[in-house]
Amino acid sequence: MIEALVLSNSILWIVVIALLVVVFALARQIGVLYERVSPMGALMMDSGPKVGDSAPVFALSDLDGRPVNVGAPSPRSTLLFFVSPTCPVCKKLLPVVKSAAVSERRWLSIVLASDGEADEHRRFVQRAELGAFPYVLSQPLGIAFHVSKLPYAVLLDEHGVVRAKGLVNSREQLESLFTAKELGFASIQEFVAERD
Amino acid sequence: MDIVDAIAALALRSLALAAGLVLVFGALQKLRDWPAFREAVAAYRLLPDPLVPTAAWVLPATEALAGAALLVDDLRIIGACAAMAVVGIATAAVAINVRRGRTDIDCGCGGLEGRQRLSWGLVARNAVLIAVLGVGIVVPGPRMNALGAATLVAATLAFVTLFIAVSQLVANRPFLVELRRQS
Repeated sequence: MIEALVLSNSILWIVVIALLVVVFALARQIGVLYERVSPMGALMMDSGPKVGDSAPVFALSDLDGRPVNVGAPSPRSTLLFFVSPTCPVCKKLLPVVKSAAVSERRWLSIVLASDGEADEHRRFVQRAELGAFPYVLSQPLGIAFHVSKLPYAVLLDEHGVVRAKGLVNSREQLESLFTAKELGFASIQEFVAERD
Repeated sequence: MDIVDAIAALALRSLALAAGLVLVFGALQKLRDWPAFREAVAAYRLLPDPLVPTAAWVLPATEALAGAALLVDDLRIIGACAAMAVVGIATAAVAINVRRGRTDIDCGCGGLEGRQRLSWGLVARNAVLIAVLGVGIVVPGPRMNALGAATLVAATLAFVTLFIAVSQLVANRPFLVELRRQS
C-alpha cells in the first residue's frame, strides 16, 4: 500500500516539474515572439521629413567641438543614429553600429545624436567606447526628424536626401535601412505593399 | 498530526531553498554580464555616478552570499535577513522608477526571461519573494528520511521552475500591453 503511494507520488512529482518546464518554455517562446513581432523591419512612423525629401540642414558641433554638418551634401551617405545613455536597446545595438561603420565605410559615415547634459554623454561615450564617432547633442535635430522612440535611425544620401528611416531594434532592422536605400523602397512596409 | 507538521515544515523549507537557488543563479547571471548590469544600475538613476560600479558589485555579491546561506540550515536566518534586505532595496528601486514612469529601462534582474522591463507586476513578484524569505526565518529544516529528502528536492525544483515561469509572464506583459495598444 505504502509502496504504491510512494510510487504514484514520485510519478506526480515528475509530471508536475515537467509541466512547469513546459509552461516556462511556452511563456519564453511567447516572449521571444513578442520581441520579434513588434516592429517588423525598421518601423516607419509617418512623421517628420518624408523619404525622398531633403533633410533640414543642421550645422552642429560634436562633444569635442568639431563641426558636424547634418543634411548638407557630402561625399558619403550619413547614418544619423539617435541614442541615449539610458536606453537598453541602444546598448545592444551599439556594437552592431560599430561593425556597420567598418563594413560600410566605403559609402557611409555615422553620426550619433542625442540631447541632454554634455557631461553625462561624455561619460557614456567613454564607457561604451564611442570615441570614433562624431556625437552631437541637439534637441532641434531630434524634433526635426520627429524622433519619439529610441534607437532611431535616419539614412541620408550624399545629397542630404532622406533615403530611409525608422525605429531600429536589431541588426536586421538596421541593415534593412541599407537595403531600403539600395532598392529604393522607403520601408519594409512599403516593400510588402508593392509586392502584394 | 505529527506527519502534517512534518509535511508543512518540508514544504516551507523547500520554498526557502528555492528562493536561495533563485538568488544564487540571479546573482551569477548579473556577474557574468557585469558591464550590462552596471549599465542597468546606472539607468535606475538613483545613485551618483561614482557609486554605480561599487553598488553593481556589492548588490550581486550580497545576493549570492545570502542565497547560498539560505541553503545551509544553520545560516538560514542571517541568509534570509540579508536576502530580504537586498531584494527589498532592489524592489524599492524598481518601484521608484515605475512611479517616475521610467518603465522602459532594463530591470537587470538576471534570470532566463530575456528582456525584463520595470512594472508593478515585477514589484509584486519581488514582494512574494520577500514574503517567502520571511518564511525561511521561522522554519527550521525538518528531520527526514530518504523519502522526505527526495520530496524536498522535487518540491524545491518545482518552486524554482514556477518562479522562472511567472517571471517570464511578468516580462511578457508590457509587450502584450504594447501590442494591444497598437491594434
